[in-house]
Amino acid sequence: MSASNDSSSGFVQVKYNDEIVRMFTLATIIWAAVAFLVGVIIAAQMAVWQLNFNTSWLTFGRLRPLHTNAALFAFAGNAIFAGIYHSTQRLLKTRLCSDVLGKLHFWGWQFIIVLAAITLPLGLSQGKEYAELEWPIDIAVVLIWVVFAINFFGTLLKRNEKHMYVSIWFYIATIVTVALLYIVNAISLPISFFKSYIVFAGIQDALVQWWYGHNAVAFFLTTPFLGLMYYYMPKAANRPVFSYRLSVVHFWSLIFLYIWAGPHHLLNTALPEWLQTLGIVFSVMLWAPSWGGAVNGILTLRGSWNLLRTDPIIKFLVAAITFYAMATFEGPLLSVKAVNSLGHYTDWIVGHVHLGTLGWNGFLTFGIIYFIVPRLWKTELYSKKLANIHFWIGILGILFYYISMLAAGITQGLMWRAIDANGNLVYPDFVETVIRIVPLFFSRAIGGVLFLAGFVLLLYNVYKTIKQAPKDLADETVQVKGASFAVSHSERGHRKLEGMAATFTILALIAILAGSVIEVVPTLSISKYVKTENKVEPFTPLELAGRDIYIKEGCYTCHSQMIRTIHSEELRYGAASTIEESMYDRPFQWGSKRTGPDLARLGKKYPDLWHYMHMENPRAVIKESIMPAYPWLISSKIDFENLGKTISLFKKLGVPYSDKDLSDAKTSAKTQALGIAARLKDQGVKEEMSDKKITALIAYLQALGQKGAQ
Amino acid sequence: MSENKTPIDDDKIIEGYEYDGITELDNPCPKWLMYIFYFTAFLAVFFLGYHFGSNSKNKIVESYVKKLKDAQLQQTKAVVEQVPEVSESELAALLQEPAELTSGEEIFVDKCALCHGEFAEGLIGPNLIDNYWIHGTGKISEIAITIRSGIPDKGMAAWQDRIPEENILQIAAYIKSLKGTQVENAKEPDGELIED
Repeated sequence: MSASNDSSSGFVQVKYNDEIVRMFTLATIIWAAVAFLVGVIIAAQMAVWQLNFNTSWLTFGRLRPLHTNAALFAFAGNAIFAGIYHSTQRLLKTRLCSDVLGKLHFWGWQFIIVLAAITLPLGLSQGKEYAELEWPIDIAVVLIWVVFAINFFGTLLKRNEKHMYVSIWFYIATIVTVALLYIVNAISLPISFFKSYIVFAGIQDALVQWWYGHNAVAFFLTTPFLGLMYYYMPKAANRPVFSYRLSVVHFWSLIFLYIWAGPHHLLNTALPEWLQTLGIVFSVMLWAPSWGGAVNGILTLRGSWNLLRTDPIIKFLVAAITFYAMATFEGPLLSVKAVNSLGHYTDWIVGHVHLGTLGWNGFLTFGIIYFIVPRLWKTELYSKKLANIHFWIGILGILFYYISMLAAGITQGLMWRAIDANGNLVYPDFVETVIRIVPLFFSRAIGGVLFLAGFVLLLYNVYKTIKQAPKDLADETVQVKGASFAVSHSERGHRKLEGMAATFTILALIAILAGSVIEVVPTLSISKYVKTENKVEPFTPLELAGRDIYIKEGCYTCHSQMIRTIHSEELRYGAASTIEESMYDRPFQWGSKRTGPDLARLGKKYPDLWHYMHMENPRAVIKESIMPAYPWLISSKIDFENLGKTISLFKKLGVPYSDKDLSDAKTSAKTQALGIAARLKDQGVKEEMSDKKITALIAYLQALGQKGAQ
Repeated sequence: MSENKTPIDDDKIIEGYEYDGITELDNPCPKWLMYIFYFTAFLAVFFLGYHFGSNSKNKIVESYVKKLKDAQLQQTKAVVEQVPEVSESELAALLQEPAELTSGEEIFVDKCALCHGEFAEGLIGPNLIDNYWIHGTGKISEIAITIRSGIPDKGMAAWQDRIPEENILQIAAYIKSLKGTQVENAKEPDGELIED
């Protein structure tokens, strides 16, 4: 494109596209501010429930998906794109394949983020963690990802460097795997433009979701960032990479092993045991391959340790790698069944995740920003001192955050399982275990504020740096030898492979398909695990309407519906959940966090009025509850019109509804609602509730655990 | 730590491969890291063998059921030992002990008032201050039974695991002592009229 041949010397002039990198860098910084700010808000909401403001779109259940999606797709996503476009052009000695596709990629991605930021607070959600976006946005995500892939592989094909450096390997694995994960996990059928249901049900959905969910961590937050680390660490330190052989070994072992680890999110649940076992062993085996990246990164600094004292960029990068090493040791540890039984559903997991996201992804990105901004804007960093202060405030923030969550998680986990000499729970009231950790929610929020404060310094520093930049920002131009494909080193093995982009990509695909196929495909024939003699009644139309509300309000962000095979859980919640009980659930609602108690067997535990009062104001029935209030459910109306479509869709997907169920969907829902409303009136509720959302939600909550197959 | 960029003795840069100025060293994988990997791989093989090699395919559930049985045995024993037989007349003596009633009141306000109202006037649950009783005839021992086992069908929890027996009796006595009190906005009577 912009390369011109200088045939006399055999050299080619290459102009890199730096404009696109500048755009993605700025987007990274802007969205990071949003993601961190929303994070601080929801952290504060857990410490002070009043901060939910009794307002639907400001409530924790709707903002939490906004925070995770913003952090993952907006902050990390833009950072990945900036870093990949910057490093790939330089590593391959060629300009980006297409400037137009680059722009399309950029604006498409920002448009998706804006749509997410609007729809998630409105409660338009598929109810699957880190994959909440509704189907039209899902399609946009896939399309833009394909644009990115075309642009990346196009650049790879026109490269002027025969061999692909280790960063490129990681980028290839990322692009291929994220596409597969995202598409499979999002397969859903719409009933309207704003509402769809995932095709997988119950255990299938659980497995696919965590195959996706864990590998979002692996292939969105790990592999691309390792690729970036392999470029920016040796660049910033000006040292050779510690070990090429280690790069080869840990790359292949990491991508092959990672894809199997998803079931460790479902230990001690109704998931078939062979899957749990695979999840455990592959997670434990990930320890060394993960550390391979950390060792290679840190030892690259050998001989230049002094930079650690003087260069803020090196500080950020080394701290990031250290946090990565901590998190990837803690991960395998938490995957051991015994440790998991304590940590699962608690804040320990939240702490673990943030060790990775704040420490590894956050700090690595900050290091890269401080590295590339002065280079891209052709000036000096405005203030090294501010960058140093940012580093220390950030570290303090992460430590506050992580230690608070670790302490909260272990404290609460131990309280949940404490049994006295008579075999009774020591803390039978769930709220007792919440009160105990509320102070830690405060210190966690302080950690978040510190992390954000440090980031504000970056914001200011970058602003001042760009302000002092020259007007003319010409693309960097280099003279490169044309692709030396002809020069042969008589290579064997991996070196040879590094020159073969297509073969390399196919091999990477095979590596990640192995675990995916072996774990996911058998589960799709769900009947194998469901004892057919255990009849389960599907939800009634009104209960389904209530279930939609449960998903819309993000109840799953704080409540699980999965009683694990652990004695103390049986004492607290009732018999362990079975596969059959959730076999018609689309999406499954097993949950991943218990800020409130498990709800799998909530049905009939309390009278309807209790639920009415509890949703209107949780403090009316549980004095110390920290749950938000949901007053709008009492005033807004049930959508009876779409129930027929939902039932019809579920019927097609195999849920045993009769034709009569389908034709009577609306009437049956109204009849059931009238019954509940009459009971509420009996018990003293003055207004008519038969057409209000609260009634549908009560119907659903009262049906939990009441459909058989226990 | 050295101040200068002194090359490490055994470091050898791999010649002929350079990417945007980045070179790589020809170091082997650190031995200790490889040992960690072999160790985890050994654990994996061992654990897979343990799982797939035995006849039982669901050890989690089996060991869980066993633990549960043990625990239940222990629990029934404990409950049997715990609840002593007390006659109604002995319980009635509690009504004369202000300390016992105050203690009962405190727990009532903490645990029961959410459903039965602060003055037992009834809220989600029935009022407990009139002569009408839905379960039993209003004797302290009967009230204690209701507290212990709850009324699951109507949403009242069983409290025997959560409140010690001594306190359950105090609450029951406190409720008995409330009979006939007048509270504004009390819930209307429910159940059978019991004259004594």
